[in-house]
Order: sequence, then C-alpha cells, then structure tokens
Amino acid sequence: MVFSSVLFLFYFLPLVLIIYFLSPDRFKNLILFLSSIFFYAWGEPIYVWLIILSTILDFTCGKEIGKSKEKNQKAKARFWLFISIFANLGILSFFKYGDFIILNINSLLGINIGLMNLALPIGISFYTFQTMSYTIDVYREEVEVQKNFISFGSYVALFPQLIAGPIVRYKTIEKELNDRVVSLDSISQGITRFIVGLGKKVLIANNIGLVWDTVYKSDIASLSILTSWIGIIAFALQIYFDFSAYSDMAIGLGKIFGFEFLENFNYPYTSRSITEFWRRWHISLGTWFKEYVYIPLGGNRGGIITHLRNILLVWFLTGFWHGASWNFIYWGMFFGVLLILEKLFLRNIIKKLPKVIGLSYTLLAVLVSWVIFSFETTNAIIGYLKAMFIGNGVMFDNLSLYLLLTNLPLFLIGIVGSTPYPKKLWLRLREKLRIDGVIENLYLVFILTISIAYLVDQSFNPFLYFRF
Amino acid sequence: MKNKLRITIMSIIILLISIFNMLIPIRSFSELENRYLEILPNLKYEDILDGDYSSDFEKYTTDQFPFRDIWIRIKTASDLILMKKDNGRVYFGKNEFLFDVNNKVDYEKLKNNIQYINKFIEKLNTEKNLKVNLIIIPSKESIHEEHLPDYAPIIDEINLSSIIESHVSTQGEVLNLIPVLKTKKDEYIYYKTDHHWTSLGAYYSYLEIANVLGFKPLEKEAFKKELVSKDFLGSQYRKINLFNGSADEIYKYSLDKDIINSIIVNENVERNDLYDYSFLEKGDKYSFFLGGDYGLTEINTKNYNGKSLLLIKDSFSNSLVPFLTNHYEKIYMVDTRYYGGSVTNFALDNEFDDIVLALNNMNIAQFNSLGSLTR
Repeated sequence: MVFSSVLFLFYFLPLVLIIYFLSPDRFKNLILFLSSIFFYAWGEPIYVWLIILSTILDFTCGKEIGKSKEKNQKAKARFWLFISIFANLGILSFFKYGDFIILNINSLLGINIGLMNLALPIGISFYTFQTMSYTIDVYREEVEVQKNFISFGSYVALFPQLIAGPIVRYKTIEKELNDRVVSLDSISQGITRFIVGLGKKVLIANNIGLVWDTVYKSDIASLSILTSWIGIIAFALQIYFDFSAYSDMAIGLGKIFGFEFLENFNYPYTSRSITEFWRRWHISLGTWFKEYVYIPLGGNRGGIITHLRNILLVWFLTGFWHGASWNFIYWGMFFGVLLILEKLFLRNIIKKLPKVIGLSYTLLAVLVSWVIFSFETTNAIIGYLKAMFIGNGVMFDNLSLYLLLTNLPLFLIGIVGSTPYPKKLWLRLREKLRIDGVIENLYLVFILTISIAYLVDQSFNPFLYFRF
Repeated sequence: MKNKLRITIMSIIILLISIFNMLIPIRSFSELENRYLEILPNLKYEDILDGDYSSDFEKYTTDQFPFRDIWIRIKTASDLILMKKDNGRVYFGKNEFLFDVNNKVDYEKLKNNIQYINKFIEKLNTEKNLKVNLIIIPSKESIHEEHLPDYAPIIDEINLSSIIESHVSTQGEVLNLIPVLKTKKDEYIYYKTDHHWTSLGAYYSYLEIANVLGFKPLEKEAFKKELVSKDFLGSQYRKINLFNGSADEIYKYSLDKDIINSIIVNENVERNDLYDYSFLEKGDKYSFFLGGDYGLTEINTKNYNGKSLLLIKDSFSNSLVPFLTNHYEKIYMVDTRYYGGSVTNFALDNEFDDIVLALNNMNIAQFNSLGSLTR
C-alpha cells in the first residue's frame, strides 16, 4: 500500500485514525501494531511473517542483552547483540543480496549456480536497520529495554515509516512509545506536512518523472546533449521530490499519532559541497552509518590511513545499501572519494571561492552521481555521461526541445521548490499580511484536490474499440 | 482555534469522500473510457496470497471513485494551466486539434504484417488472377502536422508508408493516400477530436480509389450533404474529458434514392441502413457509420451491375463504404480483428471483382490480427 493512493487516503487512513482516537490510551499501541501489520501484509502477503519474526527476535535479544547487562555478564550481552546483528544482516543479505553474491561468485569462479529469483520483501532495508539500532543502543545502554512486545512491535512496523523511511532510531521515539502527548497543534502540523508531501509526490515527482522515463527509454547513443541534461535534471528532481515527499508524509503521519520523527531532507540541492550535501540528503541513513559503522570503526581517529579507510568503507556500504548491483557501489564510492578530497583540501578551496562555484560543483557532481545511480551497466553509464559532456553529434533535437517546452513550468516549479525561498517568502508575507490561516488552508485544500485528480487520472484507461 | 479549523476542514473533506465512496452505487461500465470498470473483488485465499486481491481491490477503489470523470477533467485543466502540450495520451495541438501520443513503431510486427499481406496478395493473384489493392490511409498527424505542438515527436508516416510501399509484393497494387489528402489539408478532412477522417476526407479518398479500381466516381454535388451531429467529441477527447474548443461535426453524404437492399452482419443480424442513428445519442458517435466494427458485413445494393467488392478494413472504412455502395451490387466487409476465419479462404470461396485492403498506416504496423489474412 502506498500513501499516495485512493486506498490509503480514503479507506485505510480514515478507518485507522477513527479507531485510534476513539480507543483508550492503553490500546493505542496495539491498534498501531495491528494496523501496521495489516498495512504491510496488504503489499506483502507472504513475507509479512518475516517482519513479525524479525520483531520477535530483536525483542528477545533486547531483553536478553538487558538481563545480561544487569547481571554484568558482558560476554553474554555481546553474544545476544551479535545474534541480533547477524540475524538482521543475514536476512537482509539473503533476500536482497543473495543473487548478487551468487552472480559474482559465478563470474569469479566460472561456475553456474542457479539464481534464487526471490522477491525483495518490502521495507527490509529499513526495518532491519531500525531494529538493529534498538539492540545496539540497548547494548550501549543508551535506551531502556522495551518490555512490552506490542509497543516494540509498533516501533518496528510503524506504518508511517515502514516502507520508505526515514530510518527512525529507537532512541528517537523511545519515550513517545510508552507515553505520547497529542495536541491539536501536532495534529494540525501533521496534516499540513502530510498534504504538502502528497502534493510533492503526486504533482511534481510523478510528473517530472515522466520526462526521465521518456529519456531513459531512448537509445542512449542517439541522445542529443540537451536531451541528456534535461533527462538527468528531471531524474534529480524526481528522486528528490519523491523521496522527500515520502519522508514528509511519514513525519506528518507520525505527528498525528504523537511521534516526532527527525527531519530526513533539508534542501539538499542548495549544498555547496558534497560534505554539506550528505548532511542534507537522506539524513537518517547518514546518521545511522555514522553512529553504527563509522564511529565504532574509529571515525576520524587512528591516523590518516585508518580515517580514509573508514570513509571508503562507510561509503561502500552506503552505496551498496541502495541496491544489489555494482553501480550502486560505484555511486557510493564516487561520493566517498569526493568526500576524501574535500576533507583533504577541496573544501578549503571552495570556501574561499564565490558561493556559486561551490553550488555549481556540487550540483554537477550530484547530477553525475545520479547517472551512475540510474544505470546498472557501466556501458550505459559511460554512454550517458558521454552524451552529456561530449555529445553524440547533436546539440539539441526535436525531442529535447519538445520536452523542455512542454515541461518548462514544471521544471521551474521543481527547481524553485528545491530551495527554501518559497517558504521564506511566505513566512515574510505572513508576518505582514496576518491572514495566514485562511490562505494556508485554501492552499492545502487546493493541493489535496489537485492531488486527488492526478491520482484518479493515473487509473484512467480508455479503450478505443469496445466489444460487447 | 486556527488548528481546530484546519483539522476540521481536512477531516471533513477526507471523511466526506470516504463516505461517498461507500454510498454511491457501483458503476460497472464507463462510457467515457469505453470499458468495464472493476467491481468489488471476491475474497479468495489464493488471491490474497499472490497479491491479486490487493491489486484488484486497489483498482476497484480508483475505478469506483465518486465523480471519476470530473476528476479527470480537473487533471486535464491542471495540465493546460501548466502549459503542457500533452497529457501523456493526447497532444493539445493548435487550432483546437488533438492528436494521439504515439508509441514507437514495432518494426518486427510491421515486417510480419507485410508478409501476411504479401502472402494474401500472391495467393489471390495465383489462384484467381485478382490484383489486391492495398490502400494506405494516413493518420491525422501526417496530414495536419502544422497543428501539432512545436517539435512534438510523432511517427513519420511518409517514411513508414514508403517502407510499406517498397515491401509490398508487385503482384498487388498500392495506393498511398498521403499525397492526395495533403493537398486537401485546409479542408475539414479529419475530425479535431477524433482520430478518424471526416466524410469529406473519406470522399476525397474515394475519388482516388475509384481511379485505381477503374470506375467513375460520383461528383460531390450528386450527394445530399446532411449535418447529423454538431457535438461530436471523439476518441481523443475521451482521453482528456476537457476541451475548450468547438465540437466536431459529422456529415452524412447520401444520394436521394435509397440504394441499400439489405445489410447482414456476421451472417445473422439484418439491418437496412448503413447508418446507426442510435449512436448519435451516445458518446461514441463515429459508430453512427455502420454501427461500429464487425467481423463480417454483407451489403447488398440496388446497383444491379453484378459487381462485387471484398473490403478488408479497419474503422476508417466505415465512413468510406457509403461512397463505394454506389458502384457495387455486393460488398463484403471483413474486419480482421473480429473475423474468426481465414480471409484467404473467404476470398477464394466467393466471386469478387475487386479486392481492397484499406488500412490506416499505423494499423498496418500495429494490428495483431493480420494473421487471419492467410490462416
């Protein structure tokens, strides 16, 4: 089930909200847990048992680590921690990376083991990382053991962030799990955030994505320079609006239920260095890798070689987390190398230059990274980059002109919308005009209405010739 | 207070729509989309496990969404405001013209279809010494390209039709209608909101076809021109549901005298008129011509000249045939999409003076049914 659907907006959500708010506090986590499992099972009727098992396992591990810590049995605590990490990474590797591993063993050893062709269970990259954050933090004694299985289960399966993040660390909502306060303020903010997110996804992301679809399906060797740039900019906008919209909707829904998730995106395309970019893009992932991989490895201590090794390792894993394919690893390493260069000297240089240089450098690097991200084969990546920087002989053609002309307003909305300026402008106007509530409500109703229209239109499927 | 207002407004909107969803009666057919809509799926265990139930249920939620057609209209309005030149299905052309957003040409399928056509041509030539005439009917895009949005990518039918022409067997005859219709492009020869040609466009093609088949066509003045509909919104309109131009007009060209003896559809339904006026009240008004497409239609006229025609067609021929009925005593129309038998056998089993394959350019490349030509 996705948030941007008639099913979620007008069937699932109203029902869950009504039941949730009508029931006494002691049942609220149970309702969250059951509805979240239902939400998950709707899209994953077979692998729902996997997330339930993972929940039971980490709940048990958490309790055992806690018990061992109380009795000062350090080795036992470590043992249960390893069980949790091993099991979570195990199922993640098996389902997500199994075939990748087999493919690579095959090509390395020249043998031919058959592929498993397993479907990837939805959200597995998110919930395994979330439950690991729990057991690790219990071990680090940064959170208390959760003794209530239902409460723990509702953390793991919480439908607002189950499918597409943000990766919510247990410690972020530890208190709220046991004791939530919901105010009219939080519900109102939640609704606002959710609707804005819905609009970003349905109106901007989905539509600018059509431009990328057209370019992606074309023959790379015949792309004109302009088409290749229009295409990758469209993709950059699509992935930002899509992903950040999902986080917006997750955060909005969380607020309605009384949870405060951390921000996941902070206008990443305004960054003036790759270092800054990764503090603004998919923040929860960066934080997770920093807390649970980079810092335990030593972070920036232990000499320059260790430091560089840590950076490269973290970025290898970050890339790999995104998908079971070599291009994702290259994508991660691409950033790893740039980050090292920035740390060593590049950042200092950029700081002394005009801001626009830093911005241009970052956007260029990010656009190139999206090319690596989008194509699985090295040939395609090189082919597309060639189309962008050397060209296939044509600067622009009918296709590029048409795509540009028909989507110009949309591109402008997307580009401007990636900056904080619209919001800043609105806040300043609000102070002067003082009729903010009405206009904001009208704006939200407008976004909601148009979003519904686009959602319904997606299913429009006219037949030319009908046969009775 | 401000918060309460916002929460109330949003909650009411969502709840109202949710309740509407449950209260409105289920529609099983959409006239606008010309298809059956998804109804509430049955709850079956196997369907739940393989995900069929959830995807059918989701389809049900959108297909049965209240005021579905109006929401489509809102979306089109939004596209227009954003100055988009297409909505993914249809181009918003200049001068109120709409065009289909076309897919790529599948050259494999084109090759196969030309092979079927050639086998048919050669068989008829060998066994009955009959020359099959292939008539390539252009799409609106290639005749009215000046009305397309600037730089809009479309399929080059001049190229496509010349590929077809060069591969068709020399035992047959090819008539490419692009040149003649291009000379008439300033006249109303294609509908603005539908992909078909108008009766006038069909008339000009009839003149060329008469040339090829060797009979003298009737002058335009010989026909009585009657406006049968002035609010025709065709196939391309139905893909956007919002049009701020003027609707299309359907004209009927007929002779004063009634020349139809009988019309037999699919060998068991009798009609006596080439035109089905009931469709003028519905959305799909082009089906006024012959009532739509059927596998086999037999037309017997009062032109007792003994001549008979086999016309293998797509829907363009529906508005062309009324002109041809003035020159044959018997016309058989076969639509390969709905005809279950072998067209070759049908052609060999009956006596025909002329055999015509009249197909739209894109249909020659896209039809999945041309195999029945040589079955």
